Amino acid sequence: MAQRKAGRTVVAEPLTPTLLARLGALDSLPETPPDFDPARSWVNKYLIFTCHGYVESGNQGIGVLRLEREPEERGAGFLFRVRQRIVHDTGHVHEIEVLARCHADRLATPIEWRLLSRIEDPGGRELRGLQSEDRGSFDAGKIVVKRGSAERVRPWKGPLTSDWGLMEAVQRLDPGADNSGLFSLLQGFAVMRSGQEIVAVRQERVGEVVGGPLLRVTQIGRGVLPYDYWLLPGPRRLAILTTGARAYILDERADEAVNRRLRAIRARNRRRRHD
Amino acid sequence: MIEVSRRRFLKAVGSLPATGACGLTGRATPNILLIITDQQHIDTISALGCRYSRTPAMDELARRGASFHNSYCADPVCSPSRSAIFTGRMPSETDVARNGRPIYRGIPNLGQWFREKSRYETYYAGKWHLPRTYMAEIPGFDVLPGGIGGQGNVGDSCVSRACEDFLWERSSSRPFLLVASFLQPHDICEWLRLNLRDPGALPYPELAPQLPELPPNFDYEPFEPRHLQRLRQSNEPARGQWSAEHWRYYMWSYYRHVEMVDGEVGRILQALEDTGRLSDTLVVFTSDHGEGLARHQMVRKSSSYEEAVKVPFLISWPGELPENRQEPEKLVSGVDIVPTLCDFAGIPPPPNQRGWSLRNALTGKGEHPREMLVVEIPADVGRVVRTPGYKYVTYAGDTLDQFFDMQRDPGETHNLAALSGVAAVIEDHRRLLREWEQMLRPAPNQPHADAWWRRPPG
Repeated sequence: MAQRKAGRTVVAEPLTPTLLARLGALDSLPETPPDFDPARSWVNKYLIFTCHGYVESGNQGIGVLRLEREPEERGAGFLFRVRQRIVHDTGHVHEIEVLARCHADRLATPIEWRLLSRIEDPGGRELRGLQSEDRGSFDAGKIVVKRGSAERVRPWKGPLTSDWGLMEAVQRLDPGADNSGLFSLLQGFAVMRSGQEIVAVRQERVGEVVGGPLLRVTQIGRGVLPYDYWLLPGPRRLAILTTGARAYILDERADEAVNRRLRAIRARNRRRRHD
Repeated sequence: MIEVSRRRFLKAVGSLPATGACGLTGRATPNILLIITDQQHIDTISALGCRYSRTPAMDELARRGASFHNSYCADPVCSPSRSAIFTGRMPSETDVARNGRPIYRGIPNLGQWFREKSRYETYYAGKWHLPRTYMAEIPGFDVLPGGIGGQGNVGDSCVSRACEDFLWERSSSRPFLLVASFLQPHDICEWLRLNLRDPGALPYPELAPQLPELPPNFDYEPFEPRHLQRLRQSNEPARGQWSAEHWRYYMWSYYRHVEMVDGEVGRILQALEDTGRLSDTLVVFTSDHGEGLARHQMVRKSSSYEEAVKVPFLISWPGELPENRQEPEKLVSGVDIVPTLCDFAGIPPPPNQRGWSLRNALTGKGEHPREMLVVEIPADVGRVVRTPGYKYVTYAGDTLDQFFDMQRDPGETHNLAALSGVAAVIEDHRRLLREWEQMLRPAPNQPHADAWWRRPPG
């Protein structure tokens, strides 16, 4: 039931794989390796897609998120590498890299992490004064975050995960088990979002695009709009994540889409300089 | 009868804000952190009584300083309001009566003025929208880049991280003025387009126990100015024929957007604390305009109702200003920000300011001169005159005015404009508006010059 407004068609329905396909953001999903096992080593690369609410305009890939899981040789945890690049409207690129150790438990509970953040100008030059490195750990009822010589200690009780960690954890979730229970989420390893809960796990048909039903896992909580994780039911690979006007779409060519956005912004900036 | 004294009003209009000749209380001038959110309804901060959101960062700001409950933007849409926040002039003067226009030449913005008159170093992070939403270069400021139009959910974290990094890396001994301008909770606009269609059942049934109640002024009087009727009809709820449940789901979603930006505000406040700057920094928190939030069955902004024109306004400077102070009555406008910041910085404000420094109101040393304020309605189509007891609303080309008794009817559900018993009070408000308009120096080619009794541009 799309409606016209000012010459544009309002999408009028929430982001789902079906709508993403209709908006041209999803034509197929990459092949999943036959030996894909969410509990072993894997790499998932996502296009970060945003929707402005209209069919014809404002829908674009703005960034890339790469997640890599590697089981620890010793211990029951895993190494988790996160690399996120987002192209902002001015052509500046914000890049975050995380190396984390996590428990291979229900929530991929973080044990320790190192987060690097930097901003590049549209020409690819790193901006001085806008880089940072945070080191964090969660153990014995406290979260410790260090930056330089400063250390911040925050007492913390209760289950904890991160937004990126949860994208790993949902792949190992047992759909038949009781997945309820409140937890907190350290968004971007920086902002605490409490009162989170997995409230539903269900099979859903989402049209022909992905060739069959997907497993949909829903998370709600404070400080976030509902998150819907759409998993390929066989290999349990996270194919799509939708929340509000944002989606993460499994896409090996995500870098190309983002580089296109960057080139377009650079060209626009050049035109503005000449105007 | 109306409480405004004509003599005091004119005296106040004719005077410049009080300014300190030097730094305050013998201390060096404070760093200044101006935090702006986008489209934040005034009743969204949990410490100030909102039951539906959890906002620990804004709560902390409220505890550390003063909260003004009668705080209004100069215009309930982004660019016009921001032009007033950053110049201290009304949008009809800045030539920004609509979104996406630059500030009229010759009127300095806050950054330019601080650079010219003080030792402050000035920085800007986030949404600007004068004219473009995000700009790599803003006159008067060094820009900390980051931001994506319509996607505060992605871009705001870059804004807060850039501010964090700025605070951590800064070594200069000079004071700074840092503007952190977030896009959220404006993403509710994208939410509205994505949820225009009422699905007939709650998309997430688990949310049912959490849905906020509809507000007491959800219903509205059918006799309204045409602008308000058109606004309501053009928005998603009317077009999607929303049920009460979908309205409540929208409200629930809006509060989550507010919580999103609260988290980003918290990061900057934490960095202030971690870098030892808390007691040296004046923090001002406000928004460019409000959000309908189901009051009068409105969403978004652009209307003259309280939900659109009122904004949060918090100001704190630990150790220097009283803490945990509520100001339920004092009228505050977006045009008060420039004179207030100039006052605390110990510099005179730019010429032709339309607001007053809030320093006296904050310190209790002297009177707060404001007894009325005017809000311009986008595209210059209407005016709101707010006095301590009343609110007068008029639209160009519409014979139907609105007049509300704000003490007895804060939800604006009974328009008194047609009652003969208040005719004299209404006429007093019209007179105030006329005098206000005749004091302004409008930019050339502003519409509705006759309706607002304008003097010629010059």
